[in-house]
Amino acid sequence: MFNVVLRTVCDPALAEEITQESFLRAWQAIGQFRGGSVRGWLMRIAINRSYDALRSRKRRPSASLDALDYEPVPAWSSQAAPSEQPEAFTMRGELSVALEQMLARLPDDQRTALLLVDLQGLAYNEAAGIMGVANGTIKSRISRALATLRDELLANPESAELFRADLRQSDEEMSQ
Amino acid sequence: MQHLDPETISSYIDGELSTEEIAQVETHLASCQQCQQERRELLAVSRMIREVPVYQPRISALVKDRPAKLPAGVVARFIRPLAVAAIVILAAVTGLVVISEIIDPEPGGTDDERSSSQSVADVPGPAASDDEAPMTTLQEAQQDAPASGQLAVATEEAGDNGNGAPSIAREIRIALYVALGAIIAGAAVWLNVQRTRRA
Repeated sequence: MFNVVLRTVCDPALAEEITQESFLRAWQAIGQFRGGSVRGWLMRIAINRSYDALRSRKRRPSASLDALDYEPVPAWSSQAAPSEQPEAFTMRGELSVALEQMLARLPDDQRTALLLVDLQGLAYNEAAGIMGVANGTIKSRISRALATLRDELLANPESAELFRADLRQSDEEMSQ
Repeated sequence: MQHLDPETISSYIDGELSTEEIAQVETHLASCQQCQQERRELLAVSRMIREVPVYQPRISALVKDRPAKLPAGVVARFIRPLAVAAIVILAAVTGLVVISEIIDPEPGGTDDERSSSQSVADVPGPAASDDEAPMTTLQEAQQDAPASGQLAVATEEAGDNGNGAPSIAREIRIALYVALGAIIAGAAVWLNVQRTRRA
């Protein structure tokens, strides 16, 4: 939840506050829980609270995730295969940083849908329930978000080179 | 040739298509380089999203100085009925014990001693009648320990009301039970005051 909120508000302190408040609100409103997925219910509270915060702030903050006072735990570092070359490992890290910056520029609704499905691993119908939209809306938001990110990665020569190298690496892994 | 639309490709990547749709998509992909390339690129982006760094909130941010307050719904639905039930049960048990103490004063000797005497009397055979027979363990215990039954008889003979020291202990017990009852009543009153204040 914290990672979705953090990437929505782009403010670590605010993300921490929203995460904590979401749990407190859920606890205080436990009587209103109608069953179903607790994770989805908590996530909906957190996302609504994040959107409220964004609306009240009117504009996105200047802080970027690069300037966070956090010790990130990159998933790619733990998922790297033992046989992976150091160059490939470094390339994945650089691509990840570039992707974070592009992710922050996506429209809020597209980014949230993408994070819920790809980062949190939710099904389309779960994400639709959390965001209060139809399944088809989630489908089109994710499709547009993926296409936008791909286009941005290819538009920048440096990230395009990294992206193509990553594609070649994936092809080699698939063929082995 | 009609190419796959981007939504179908992203749904295919996310595993959101039916078996029939998957078969159609794979048939098309097998013969269309352009859609294959589209799928490769979108799949790579999707994989990268899953691999973005995971951040942990600071521990200090998770524990703020907030009063740990139970929501009103939980108190009303679970805590208060349980507290009332506990008080009622405690009050009932205390009342029963006090009444039993008053109505049925402790007779001379304990239940254990009475039952052990009964047990020895019931033992058939030579051990019960033959003086030369070795003593049973119970008999030895009876002889070693001063029987409070005898003490009760002695005090009764002295004109006491059944027993001396046990009578004092019984009064202390009754006092303790009354004190416990007062505490329970106090708790009930306090609970009621709290409820009135909330209302």
